[in-house]
Amino acid sequence: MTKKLTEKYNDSCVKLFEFLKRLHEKDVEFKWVLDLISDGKYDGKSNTHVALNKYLNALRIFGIKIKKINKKYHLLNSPYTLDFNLDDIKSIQIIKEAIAVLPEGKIKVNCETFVHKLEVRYNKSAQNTISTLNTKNKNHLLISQKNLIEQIRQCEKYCQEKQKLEIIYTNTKGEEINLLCSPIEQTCQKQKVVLKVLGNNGSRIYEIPIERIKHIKQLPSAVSNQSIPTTIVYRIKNRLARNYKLREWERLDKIEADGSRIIINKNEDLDMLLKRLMRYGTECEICSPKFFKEEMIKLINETISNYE
Amino acid sequence: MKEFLKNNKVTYNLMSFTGYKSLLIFSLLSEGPKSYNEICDYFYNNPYLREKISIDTLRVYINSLKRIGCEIKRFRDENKESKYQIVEHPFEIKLSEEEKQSIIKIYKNIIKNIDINDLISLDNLLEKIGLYIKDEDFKGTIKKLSMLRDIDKSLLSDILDCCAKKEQIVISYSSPNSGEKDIEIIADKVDVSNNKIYLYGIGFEYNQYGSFLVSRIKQLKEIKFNKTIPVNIEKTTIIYEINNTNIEPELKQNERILEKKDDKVTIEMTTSNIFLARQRLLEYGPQCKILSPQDFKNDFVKLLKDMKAEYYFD
Repeated sequence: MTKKLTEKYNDSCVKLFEFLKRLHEKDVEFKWVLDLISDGKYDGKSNTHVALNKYLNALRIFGIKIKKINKKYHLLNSPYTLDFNLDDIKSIQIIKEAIAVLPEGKIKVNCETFVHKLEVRYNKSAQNTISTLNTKNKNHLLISQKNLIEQIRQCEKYCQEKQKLEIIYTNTKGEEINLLCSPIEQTCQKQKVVLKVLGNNGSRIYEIPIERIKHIKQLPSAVSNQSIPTTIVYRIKNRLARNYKLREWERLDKIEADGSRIIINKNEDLDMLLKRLMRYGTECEICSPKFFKEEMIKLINETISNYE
Repeated sequence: MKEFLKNNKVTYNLMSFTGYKSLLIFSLLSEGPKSYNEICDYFYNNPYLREKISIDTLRVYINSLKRIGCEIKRFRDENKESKYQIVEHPFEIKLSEEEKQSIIKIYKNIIKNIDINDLISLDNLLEKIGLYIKDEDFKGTIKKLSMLRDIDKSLLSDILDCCAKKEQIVISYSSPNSGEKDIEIIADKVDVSNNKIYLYGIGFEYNQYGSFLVSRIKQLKEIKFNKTIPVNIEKTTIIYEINNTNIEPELKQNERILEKKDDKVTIEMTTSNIFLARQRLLEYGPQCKILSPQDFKNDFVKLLKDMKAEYYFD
């Protein structure tokens, strides 16, 4: 390696590629380029500017577009291109739509950097595709609540900041609920954005649709890492047991001799879980905890009472 | 530059020819292996150069490219001709660990929020990125999170096409109850329920509208030329009401609102699949009351009582 680097090389070639390398990492300050070309000896009198113009022209004629904004050079395309088809370009558009909803912060910056890294490497056909796509731009994300973008962004920020929250929201019955909780994450359910939180008492998970949140107050105390959501154990039988596909937050505990399966569930909104388990009818039975079993019995009894 | 734009001629005063030549060599060698003669021909035919390059000058350029981080391989091909190729260079996509985690996070947000066609495209894109960045862990994490992890994507695309055209198809289906069998259906739609992807359509076996887990479909065996109009499909009309709701109920394709009064909504559902209808109404719990038909209502109450009995049996 040492031998190779002592071999004869071309200084202009190295400088032009160093400039390009830097442009791939970030926007490059005008002064940095002048220092590169003059080997750190820029005095304002030499022909450094002439050399820089020649480099820029060489890049332009080769097809590399560089834009100068506020004394900084910004790379628009790379000499190394990748093949992206129409579907890829659409997916990148989807990622951009999702980024737009993110609050300011590391995740947003990282995702923007990722998209930039892809965009500068678009090949000719991808660049043509993007110009036609822009005219037929549509929203791919199914979030029906475009008017809630600011609220979604704010909730994402709460999740990142990991401070406790006081939330006032309305439940499906229209009752106003006041909840002290720790934010976990924002997720999507049936095309609706929900804020997943862990209740302060009882370690119960709540998934609250953003649209039903009336007020959120961030509290000064930090989220405790020691809170553990309640574990629910239930048995599934017959056809359901044979067909059942475990969720991300579930695990199979054991398979009984009769083929029924014991499932351990953590991290799901208990009201939503009750609804889901109701769907399974007699093919599902809650084993523990006792309070959750009683909630299910109450739910069944209340439903029966509709017909008495 | 203005001069160039006018007459399309480049002089040494306008651009760095050294820079331009190095870009050309980089581009040629990163495309694939090139011999000295091939590079010479390319230079000779280039409208701005129109000259060959000496082997010594080429070596100087190659040394310069190595200096900026390119790994250049020299080897003899099957005709014993010496070739050069760039196998690694600083412009490949590289993602930091933090960037990868952010992409995974945004992917998790997106997947539950796009239609199936877009989901297939997004998965394909990230698979491609995984290849470009040569990171198996990244690819593995995305695959683990994907709803398509155990689904043949090209098969799913074919099924989506069939749904768009409402084709009559025969699928080979691995049923957990009766093993692998052929099922004939009129494909209607592909939809996600509880993070699982289902094909919906009218099945000819039971003459009813049903759902089939796409991950259990092994093959699309046939697309029928002539469609059979399904006869004798027994449809049931169920009327039910939702109480104490301040939220507009999300209706299915086969439902319509009959009446809205105060906090009560009366809905009519027409279905050929009693099992799916029962599941939907069970999920509502005490908020829902079935009004008719009587036999469906009786079966529903019996089911609830059986469910209750399960808890008192122990």
